[in-house]
Amino acid sequence: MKSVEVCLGSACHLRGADKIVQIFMQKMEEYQLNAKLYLKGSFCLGHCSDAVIVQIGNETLKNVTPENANVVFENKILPYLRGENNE
Amino acid sequence: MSERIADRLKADVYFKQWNKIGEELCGDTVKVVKNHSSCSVVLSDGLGSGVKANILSTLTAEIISTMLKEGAPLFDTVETVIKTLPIDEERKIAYSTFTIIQVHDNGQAYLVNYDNPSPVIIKNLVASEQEPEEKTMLGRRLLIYHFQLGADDFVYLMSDGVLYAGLGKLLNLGWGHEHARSYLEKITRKHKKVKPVVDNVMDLVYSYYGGECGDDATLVGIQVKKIQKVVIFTGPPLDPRDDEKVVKKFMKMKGTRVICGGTTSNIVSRITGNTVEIDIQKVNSDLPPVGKMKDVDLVTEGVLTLTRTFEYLKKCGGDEELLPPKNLNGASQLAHILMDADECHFIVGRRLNPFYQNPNLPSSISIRKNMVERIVELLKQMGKRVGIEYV
Repeated sequence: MKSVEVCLGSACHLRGADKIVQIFMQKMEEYQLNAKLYLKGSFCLGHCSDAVIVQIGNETLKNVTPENANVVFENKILPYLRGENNE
Repeated sequence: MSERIADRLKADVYFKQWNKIGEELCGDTVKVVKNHSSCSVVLSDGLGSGVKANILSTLTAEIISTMLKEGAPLFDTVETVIKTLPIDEERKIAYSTFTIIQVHDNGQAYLVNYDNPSPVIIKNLVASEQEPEEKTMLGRRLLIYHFQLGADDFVYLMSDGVLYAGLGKLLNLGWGHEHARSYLEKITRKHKKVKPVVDNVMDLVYSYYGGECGDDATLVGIQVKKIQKVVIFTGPPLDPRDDEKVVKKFMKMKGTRVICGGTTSNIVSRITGNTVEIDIQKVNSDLPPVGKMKDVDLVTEGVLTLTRTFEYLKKCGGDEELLPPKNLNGASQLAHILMDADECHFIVGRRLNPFYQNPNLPSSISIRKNMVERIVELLKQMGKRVGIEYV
């Protein structure tokens, strides 16, 4: 199973990390990915000034917001699960 | 952990009183004296009721507690009081009766009872029979008990007003010592905490009296507990070369271990090899979630959680029952841990996260050190021993 990590530390929390988790969970439901993707929380992935931080494989995504979370899921997480990048 | 022998004990004391109907003052007095190695409790019942009884019992309890506070031996104290207490001319009984218990931090207890109802001693949640030694001092009969208490044993002291509850009304002869004792045992088993037991029993006493207490009634509950220690590690050490040393020290300290801070938890994780697990299902917008790590009792985010913990502690004013439920969030868990603790030690890292220098952030998040110091101040006001070290 592949995993994606969402930072839930102080800075990311203040910038809506919890909402991003909710959006990702809805998307996982929608695409029936619960058996394929493990969504993990982390307390600090660094880069606090560019919160919210999401770690997808080797790629660290910065400035993820509740507004762009859907796009991030479609354009980054889905290709990652299909093995198209970041193995 | 196998530190049983070294466990020091303390006594939690809680009492409740009812005044005789129509009286503004209670004729029973309770005094608690705590020092570094023992806790003493005095319950004195003054003859009669109202102002007179109040003055007599206050005088007795005050002499005893002042002497004990100054370090006088228990029996010298008793002798002084016995010598000082006059006898009522008409009734030929002393102006004031009393019970004194002294519980040492190794669990040894000494109890002296002068004409109050027998104490109820509950060990391992069973009411235990203790045979007192009888001693006559200046013609007064004293009952002296020596016994050993362990963690979560209870002792209840009472004035006779508790036993007379219902006298001549609901219960013809009052509910008596036997019934009071078995009820205390039953309720102690249920609650395992001194405050709800005393509140419950005193509510029952009030009902037996039909809301019109025929005598002053006092019930004192004493619960022996292990001294609780907690150590909180928050913030990365100023010099990253100190990380390993500080983490090893933190992991060796006895007591409940708490980490507050994302970077701090990452440092501990890197050095111990234990990962932090966060249950993402429990994420909500209120506060960042809590994490789990082997050998650490609680892992939380840093400043936001500490700020909220401070607010909870300040609002509850030292009364644990006014805290939000423990499992609400990381801050409520930390607040409960701190309230339960007798000794708290904070290890505060001084390395600043550049992110917090951002002027657009709410000011509450700005400086961890300030928040920790405010929490420390509150804990000290609650009578806890608190240490703080900066790394």
